[in-house]
Amino acid sequence: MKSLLVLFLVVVCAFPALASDCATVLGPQKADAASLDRVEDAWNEAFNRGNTEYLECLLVPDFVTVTPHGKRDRAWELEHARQNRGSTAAIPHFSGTVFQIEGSTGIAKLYKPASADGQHPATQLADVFTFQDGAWRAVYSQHTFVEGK
Amino acid sequence: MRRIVCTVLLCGSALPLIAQDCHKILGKQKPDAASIKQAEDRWSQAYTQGRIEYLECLLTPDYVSVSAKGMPRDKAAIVSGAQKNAQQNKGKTDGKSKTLPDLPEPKIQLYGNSAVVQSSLAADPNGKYPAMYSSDVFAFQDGVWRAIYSQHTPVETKE
Repeated sequence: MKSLLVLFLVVVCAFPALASDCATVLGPQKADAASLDRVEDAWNEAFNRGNTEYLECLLVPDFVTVTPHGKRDRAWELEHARQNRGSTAAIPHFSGTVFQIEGSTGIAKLYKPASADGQHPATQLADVFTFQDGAWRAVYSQHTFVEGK
Repeated sequence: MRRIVCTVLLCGSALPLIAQDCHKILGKQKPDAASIKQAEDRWSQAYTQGRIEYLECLLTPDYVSVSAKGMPRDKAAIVSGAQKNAQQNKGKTDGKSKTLPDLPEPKIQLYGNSAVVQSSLAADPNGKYPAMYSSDVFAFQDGVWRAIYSQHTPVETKE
């Protein structure tokens, strides 16, 4: 009984510690487009450099990306980020992201033109966020190829 | 000057009226999955039956829907599409009016006042259309769910 109580106390005490860790990892934010813009950049960098600690905090447990090739869940995102650890390759940056904020819901929308080598078609991308406990959390992403471009 | 004051007063007093009307049109809601499901069902009906006033209240002014071909369509285009549906369905009995195909139960992600509704449509067995993923993003504002964004993605089949 005593060990159960100790275990319960450890678990209960650990939760706020985890939450405050994520607040530190994600950094101070506001429910505005400027913060969301910084989060998008940080996400891009975390993925391309394998910073899974950042992604663990950013992505909600049931985060999913829908692409023309199928669905990718949070575990996929973390695993592929992990493979980028130690990478020094240039991180691709795309300008022209449009931010839409409706209270605690935010969307980052981007039209990505086709790559010059013809390998990647033009794509419409959207990342959906919710503002929780002082930080933007990524909930959902979707990619759609643009026909004829 | 007096005219400007009157205009400002008229606009000022008209806004709560519009908001009240929308509350009535959208119905009583809670920030829960059941209310989102209801909003989704009513949205489909409003679109096929041309219930413009419902769509005007449901869709936020900067609502955008990205089609399966990757083309963004704004609120005006969606409302216009619903108007066309209303004209086509005029005089038709319920059985003959345009309807949307039955979709499997959507998955709803609910985080406070934010929600994403994920739907999927299996490919047509006769190859008429590919499998499709769709999403609707909602924000709970002033006691109702408002649709802020949608996107559709056809699933590529490996040749």
